[in-house]
Amino acid sequence: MMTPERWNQVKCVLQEALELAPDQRPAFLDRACSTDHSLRREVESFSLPVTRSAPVS
Amino acid sequence: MSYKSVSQLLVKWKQGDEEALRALVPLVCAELRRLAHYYLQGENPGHTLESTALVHEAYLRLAERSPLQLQNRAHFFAVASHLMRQILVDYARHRHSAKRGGGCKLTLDEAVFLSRGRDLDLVALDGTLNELSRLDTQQRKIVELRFFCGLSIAETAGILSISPATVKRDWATARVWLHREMSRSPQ
Repeated sequence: MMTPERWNQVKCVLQEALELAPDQRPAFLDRACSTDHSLRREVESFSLPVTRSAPVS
Repeated sequence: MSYKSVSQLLVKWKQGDEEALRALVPLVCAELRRLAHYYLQGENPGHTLESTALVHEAYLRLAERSPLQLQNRAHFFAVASHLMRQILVDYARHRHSAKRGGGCKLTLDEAVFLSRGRDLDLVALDGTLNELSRLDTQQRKIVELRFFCGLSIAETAGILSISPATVKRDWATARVWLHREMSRSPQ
């Protein structure tokens, strides 16, 4: 069960992600969640629209 | 009901008297239920509840008889939004049982909720709001004020004494949270 502390952490990442364009979200989540895979999974469970930006060549 | 006593109770509540709130709720609730009944009598076959108009009229009816200060208006909305939630959920439950499991979806004032034109399961919303309240009381208050009272970002900020930017962010994350939880709810 999610704790208020964990929700606060997830919420902070979600708030920033929501303010970004969909193509900026994956890179932001890479930085914001770093090695915290469970945080990443939790944020991704909200199904925010994301688009992968084209690789820089 | 006595409007003078409502006004006095609001003042006492503002001064920190929790007993005053307990006395106030049934009085305001009775008025809101009366208004709810009035509106539901005239409802369309589509069962559209004008939640915003409902509470605004309740406020106006209280305020016109005993002018309330802004802080009292804030208090009124804090009570009224929670009451509106209870009233609407009770109404949905009643409809649900009346139809023997035939569903209890209502179309609410779409300007104030999650997505336009979608039917909303109020009983499921009530359950998810209880869970949100456990995680973040402020977000529960924001949803009640925005959704059940139809208040703007700025009005909600004024009532909760927080910045509009905070309301906007908390409202946005509360919406995605409710959307996720309600998508998971068994139908």
